[in-house]
Amino acid sequence: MIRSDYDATSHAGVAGYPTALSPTVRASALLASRAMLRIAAALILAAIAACGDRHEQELRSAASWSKTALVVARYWTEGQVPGTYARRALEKASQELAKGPLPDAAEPVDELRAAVERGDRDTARRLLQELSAR
Amino acid sequence: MKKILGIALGVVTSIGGFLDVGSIATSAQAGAAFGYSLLWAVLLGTICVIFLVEMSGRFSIVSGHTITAAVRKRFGFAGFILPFAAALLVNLLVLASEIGGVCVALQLLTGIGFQVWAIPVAMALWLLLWLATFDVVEDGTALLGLVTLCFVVAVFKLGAQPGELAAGLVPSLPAQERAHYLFLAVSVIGATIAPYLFLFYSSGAIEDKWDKSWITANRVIATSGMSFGALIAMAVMVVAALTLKPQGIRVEEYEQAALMLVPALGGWGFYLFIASLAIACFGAALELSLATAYAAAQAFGWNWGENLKPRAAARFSMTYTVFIALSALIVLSGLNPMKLTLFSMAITAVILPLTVMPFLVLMNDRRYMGSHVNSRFSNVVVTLIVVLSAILAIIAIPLEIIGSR
Repeated sequence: MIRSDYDATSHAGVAGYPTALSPTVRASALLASRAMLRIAAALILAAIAACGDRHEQELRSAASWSKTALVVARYWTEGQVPGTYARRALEKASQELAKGPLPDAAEPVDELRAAVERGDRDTARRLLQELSAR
Repeated sequence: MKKILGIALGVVTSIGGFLDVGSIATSAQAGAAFGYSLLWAVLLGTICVIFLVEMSGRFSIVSGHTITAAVRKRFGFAGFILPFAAALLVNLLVLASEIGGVCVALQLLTGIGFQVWAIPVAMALWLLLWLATFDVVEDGTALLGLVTLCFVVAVFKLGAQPGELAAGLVPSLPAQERAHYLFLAVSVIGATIAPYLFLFYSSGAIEDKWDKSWITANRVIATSGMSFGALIAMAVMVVAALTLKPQGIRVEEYEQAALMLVPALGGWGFYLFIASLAIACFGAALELSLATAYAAAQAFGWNWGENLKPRAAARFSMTYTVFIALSALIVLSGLNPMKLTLFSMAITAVILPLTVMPFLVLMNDRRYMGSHVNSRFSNVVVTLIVVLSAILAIIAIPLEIIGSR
């Protein structure tokens, strides 16, 4: 027995597989494809937004590394973190800043790192005051 | 009395063993970037993991089987191999992240690059598994893991506002960086619902010879241990929100995360962060290596058991040996440990339905569970959270990749 959803006379595809669909099935397929289109459109919009965010993200990242350098140096001058860590963290901050949108910001961080390497807390404090005043 | 002590130890070890590299990295990054607004993701993951851990213990107690062996038997090799392969791949990535976490902790302490530590850490991990018994591995590292309670102490010292914390438990979308927010949400959920956790727990119930008298104890351990453990993960997020976010510091690397306890605990804060990271990651790496070896041995019918001499369970011991070596190689390759961790956690969320759904089928099979089958409520809760997390992860991962390129 042939199900009423299918038109038995219009089998144009693979033998035994109906190709003509009933209005109900067609409407469901249309709705599903519209839903898929909406989801795809939402995803494309989100992807575009994600691309747009990229520059802002780079700026946020640079600002964050800049603040990280200041906080690390301040904690080091206060004796809250060891010199080995401070040196490494400042080196990382300098690298990240140099490859970001604010490469000039790496320079004072390098000066702070040099002060930490020498164990010169006074210079580090002075540099921090200068940077805070900017 | 013995059972009460057993329950107390179970709860304490669940708390001490809850935090791992995923929880620390994702919670720290989420707190520094979005404040308290991703606390809901930890809550959602915790609800799911409480159900899953309780189920895995109940399954082993009632059926006498481990989950992996039962899935293989129930679904046959063809139905078993895909979830098994996916779980192995994710376990490998997560183990590399855990070993990477220990190496980074040593780098923060000594200033020597993390890659240099990959082989010594892997050797220490392997040696402990080779020589120690299950109790030493499970209880020893989890008791040491109680050091992670320093994050909870820091929350009290910093004075978080309860009203603001409660607001973070309600899901919301930020005005900016929605793609990154979504990615962090799935990473947090993936870190909380780590499949190795309940596979390990199920094998542990067999190793500890739990019988039906442990059903209530299992419920208490799963609920209390996971709830209190999740509080530590939430504490990491809250501390990052209170100390790093106001200073404009985002957590892109562990060097930044290492600063989070200093405002609350002073100079000790730095060392406590390192100790927490190292111990939590080492403990999780031990559990993960064992969980993977258990899964392989149970799947292929080999001898298994951490209490057996390696000679008596040669293929089981060989599995964790190879697995640790491969993970050490990934760390040696120089992949960024923080990025590796975040992506491993997000991928964990993607494969959750593959690992959890076959288990749920077993939990509703009266041939295994008799009258202890799941309630409809627990089925619905777990299915909803797992499927939703996977869908979110499938959407969020490509968006994060596009946004960060």
